[in-house]
Amino acid sequence: MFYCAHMVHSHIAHFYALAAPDFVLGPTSDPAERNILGVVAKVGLEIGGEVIKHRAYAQDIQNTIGGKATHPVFGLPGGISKPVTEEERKGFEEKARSEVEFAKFSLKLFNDVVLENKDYLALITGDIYTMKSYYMGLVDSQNRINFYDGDVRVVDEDGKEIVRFSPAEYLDYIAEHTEPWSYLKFPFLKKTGWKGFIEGRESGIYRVSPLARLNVADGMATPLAQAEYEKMYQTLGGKPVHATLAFHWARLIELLYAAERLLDLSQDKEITSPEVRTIPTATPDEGVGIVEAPRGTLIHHYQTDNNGIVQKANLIVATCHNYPAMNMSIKKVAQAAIKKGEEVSEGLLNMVEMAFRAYDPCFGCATHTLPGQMPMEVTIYDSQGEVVRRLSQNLPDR
Amino acid sequence: MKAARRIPLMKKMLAQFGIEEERVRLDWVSASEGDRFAQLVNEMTEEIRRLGPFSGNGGKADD
Amino acid sequence: MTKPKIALYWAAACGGCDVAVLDTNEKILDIANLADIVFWPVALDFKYHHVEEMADTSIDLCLFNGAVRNSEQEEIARLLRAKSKVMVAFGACACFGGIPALGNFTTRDEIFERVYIESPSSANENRTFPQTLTKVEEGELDLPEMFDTVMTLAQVVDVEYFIPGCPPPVDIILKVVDLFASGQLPPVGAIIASDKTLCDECERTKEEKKIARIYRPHQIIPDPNRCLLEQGIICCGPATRGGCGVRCVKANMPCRGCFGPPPGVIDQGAKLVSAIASIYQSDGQEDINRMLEDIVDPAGTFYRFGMADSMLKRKSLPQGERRA
Repeated sequence: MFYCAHMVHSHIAHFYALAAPDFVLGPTSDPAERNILGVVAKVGLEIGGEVIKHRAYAQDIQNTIGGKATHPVFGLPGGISKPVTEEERKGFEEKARSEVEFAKFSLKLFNDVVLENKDYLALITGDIYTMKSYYMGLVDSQNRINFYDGDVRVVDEDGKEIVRFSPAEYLDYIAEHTEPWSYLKFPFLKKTGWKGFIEGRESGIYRVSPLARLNVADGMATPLAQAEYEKMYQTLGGKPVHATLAFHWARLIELLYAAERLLDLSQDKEITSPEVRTIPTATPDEGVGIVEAPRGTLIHHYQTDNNGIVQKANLIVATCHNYPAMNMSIKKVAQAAIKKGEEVSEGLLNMVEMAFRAYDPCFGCATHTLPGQMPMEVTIYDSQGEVVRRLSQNLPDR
Repeated sequence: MKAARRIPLMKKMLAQFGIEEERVRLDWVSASEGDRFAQLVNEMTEEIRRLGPFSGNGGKADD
Repeated sequence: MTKPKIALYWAAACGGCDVAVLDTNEKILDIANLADIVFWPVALDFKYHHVEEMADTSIDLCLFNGAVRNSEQEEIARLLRAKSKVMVAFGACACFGGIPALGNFTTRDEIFERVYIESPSSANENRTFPQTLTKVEEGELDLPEMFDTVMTLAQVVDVEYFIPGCPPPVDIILKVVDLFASGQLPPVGAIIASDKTLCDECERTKEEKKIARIYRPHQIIPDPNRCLLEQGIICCGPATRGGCGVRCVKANMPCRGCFGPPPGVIDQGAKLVSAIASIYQSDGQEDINRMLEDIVDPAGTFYRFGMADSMLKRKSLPQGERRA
C-alpha cells in the first residue's frame, strides 16, 4: 500500500513536472516557460491545483505509514515498525478513490493534448524517438505487472520471452560494462554479451521503465488499467511498443494501476492488522531484493557479517539498466534533428533532452558516486570536420 | 565510573576511523602513586613514538 | 518592483530535498509568485551558463542541497556563492555531509576498485576506470574529478544559514520562505530549527535513564509510549537538535540524528558515545564487554549523518591526501 502511494506520487511528479512541459508548452518553447509552472499557467490553476493535491495525497499516505515520505524509516528486518489504524485506513481509502479519478483524468488529458495532436503523435511514433530493444520487468505468476514481488522477465523486440529468473539468479543474466568517459556502468544481457551501442536482437542492450513493464507483461492486474493498456497497444500498432516517448503514456497507465491497487489494499480487512512485524530468528549472510522502482527494475544485493551488518553491496538501479539505451536515444535524436543548412537552436537541445527525460531525471543513485548533473555537449561539425557550433550545458568553460 | 564505559566504546569507534587502539589509554592512578604515574606516562610516550605521527585525516588545510 | 530571485541546486544528493520543496504543495505556487526561481535543475530548464551570465549577488536566496564530493559540485558551489546574496545549506547533506559522507570511511581508489572491478556484476577484465579526460574520435569527453573526502557546503564556501534534516520538514521550509519574504531572516549563522534537543520535543514517557542491555531495533518490539533509549534502543535524540516533529520516533523508530548536533555540541558522534555509555549500567568488565558487543557499529550509528562535520571528518587516509 505504501509502495503504491509512492508510485502515485512519483509518476505524477515525473509526468507533470518533467514530461508535460514539452507537450503542453511545446518542445521548442521558451525555457523560461517550459516547466511545471508554465504547465500550470497554461492548463489553469484549477487543474494545476488538482495535480498538486493528488501528489500531496500520495505523500500524506507515505508520511502516515512511513514516518516520512522521503527517506521513510518504517522498514526493518522482520517487517514494519507501525501498524495502520482504522482511522488512517479510512483516510487512505478516500484518498485512493480520488487518485483513481485523477489517474483517469490524466489519461484523458494525455489523449486530448498529446494523442489528438497530429504533430505530437508523429513525434511519439516517429523514427527518431524509436528504439528496438529487449525489455525487462517484474511479473507475478500470471505474468501481470507487479511492483513488489515476482520474477524478472525479459522479452525480445517481438515481445517473446527469452529469459525469466528469480532475484537470486540475477548475476547469471546481467553484467555491467565500463567506459572511461562515464562514472555510470552499462548493464547488458549476458546471453547476448556486450556488443557496443547497437540496436536490435544482436545487442545486449535492454530497457526497463513503465513501457518496458507493460511490454513484458501479459496484462495489468486491475480492470481500468487493463482497458487503458489495451487501448495503448491498439493505438500504437500492437505489442511491444518501441517508442521512447510512449514511456510517458505507459507511466499514466501505471498511475491508474497503482491507484486502483491502492484502493483495493486500503479496503483489505487485514490492512489494519496490528501484527506487522516478527522478531527475526536467524541472520542471513546474503540477499538479493528486486522491486520495480517508478522508472524501472531496481536490484539490491547485500552480503552481511554475522551481526547482519552489510559488508558488501551491489546496486543496479533503473537508470543504470537504461543507460546504454539512453545514450543511443540521445544520439539518434541529435543525428536526425540536425539538418544541413538549418539553424541549430536551444530548441534542439531540448528535443535531445526529451529523449533523456522519458527515462529519468536522476543520475544520482545510478553512479554510486553522486555527481548529480549530466554534462552534455552537442558539437556540430560540417562535412569538412570543422566545428560549426557548440551547444553545451553543465560543462566548465573552455 | 562513566569513564570506564566511555573509553572502551570510544576506542572501538576510533578503530573504525583507523586510529590505533594504542593511542588511547585508560588507567587508574591515585594521587599518592607518583612513581607509577611517571612510569605510565613514559610507557605511553614510547608507544606513541613507536606508532609515529597520526597519518592524517583529510579535511581542509587549516585542520 | 522586480521580484527577488531564488535558486536551488543539488550536489551529492539523493533528490529528496528537491522532493521536499515540491511537498510544499500548493504553496510552491505562492513561492513562484513571490520570487523568480532562476535556477533549479530538477524542475526548470535553466543551465549553468544562465547562472554564469547573472550579475554577482543578483540571486537573493540560494538553497543548496547535497554534500560536495567532486570538482563540479565544488565549482558550482563557488559559482552560486558568487552570484548569491544569501547561501543556505539545505538538508543534512549540505549541513553535515549526510549519508554520502559515510564515504569518508573509505577512499576513491577503494570505491573505484569495488564498483568497477570487484562488484559481482562487473564485467571489466580490461580494468577500465572512469577518467577525467577521454579522447575519442570526435574530440574530448571530460568528467568531474571525484574527491576522496566528502565535504559540507560550509567547508567549501561561506554559508549564511543552515536548514537541517533528511529531508527538512515542510513546515521549516515554509518558515524560511516566510522569513525571507518578510525580510526577517535571523542573524547570520543560524541553524533554522529548534534550540533544544529532540528529547525536549518527544512526548514519550521518560523515567530514569538506566539500561542494562542495548537492543537493535529489529531485536525487540518496544512499547510505543515509553522512551526508546530507556528500553535499550539507541536513539540519537539526546545529542540531536529538535524541530523535526519527532517524525521517526512517532513511527516507532529511533532518531538517527539527521538534524545534527544541538547547540553547544561540537561533535555529535562523540556526544553520543558519552551519552550512551553514561546511561549503561555496568557492574564490571563483563557488562562493559557486552555493551561493546551490542553496539555493533558505533561509528556508523553515531555519525550516520555527521561524518563530514565531525572533528575527525574521515577515516585516516593511507598516505597523505590526494584532494581535500
